[in-house]
Amino acid sequence: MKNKLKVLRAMRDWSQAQLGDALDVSRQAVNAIETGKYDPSLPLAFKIARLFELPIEEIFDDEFEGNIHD
Amino acid sequence: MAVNSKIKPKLSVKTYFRTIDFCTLIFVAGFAVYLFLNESGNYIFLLGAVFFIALLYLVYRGPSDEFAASCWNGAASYAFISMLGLSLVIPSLSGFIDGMYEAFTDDYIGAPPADAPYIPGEPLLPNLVAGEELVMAFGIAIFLMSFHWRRFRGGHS
Repeated sequence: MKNKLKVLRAMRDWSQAQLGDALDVSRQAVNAIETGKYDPSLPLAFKIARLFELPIEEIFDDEFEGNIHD
Repeated sequence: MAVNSKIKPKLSVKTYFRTIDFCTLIFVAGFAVYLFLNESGNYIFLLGAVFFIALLYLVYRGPSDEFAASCWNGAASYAFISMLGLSLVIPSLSGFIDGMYEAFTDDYIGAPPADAPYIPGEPLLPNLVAGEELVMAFGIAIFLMSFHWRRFRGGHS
């Protein structure tokens, strides 16, 4: 899943470790999410959204373009 | 999550990864002792016990970080499926190795004749592939490799 976490973090001039501390996860977890190698759990995704004061869908893009009922 | 953390605080990701590193070291040491010292008794048992206690500690406490938990879960799945696969393959593999051994040497290591004398203390058939030990070691190796692969691929630490 693509996401804008790296951009949002850079805009605030935070390091991965600082973001990890704010989210209560490890730096490795932040890196894995940023590089798209790990999709965060729903609670963590909400936590990220709250931290950046953005809706989840503005941070994460599931690349789904079809109709949900298809 | 909050309730669990009050009962037993989960391990920090640093401690969690350090403990896995320790387990890897123990496993490599055990393998080296088995290979180079040809020792399968007390040392292996001792190292195995330390390894098991360390793993038990990891399972009991659990990681505070969901990425570390995902590394564990993924590695455990691979280890399980590879152990299951190897358990099914080992009898055929053992037969294949015995067959190849017989083909390239004149030694007969198939089923012994009915009137073959039994020599106390010596197995009738050479144990070329020690099935249970191989499956266990293979499973642990797959688990550790998979865990570290996921950890470094995701974390670059």
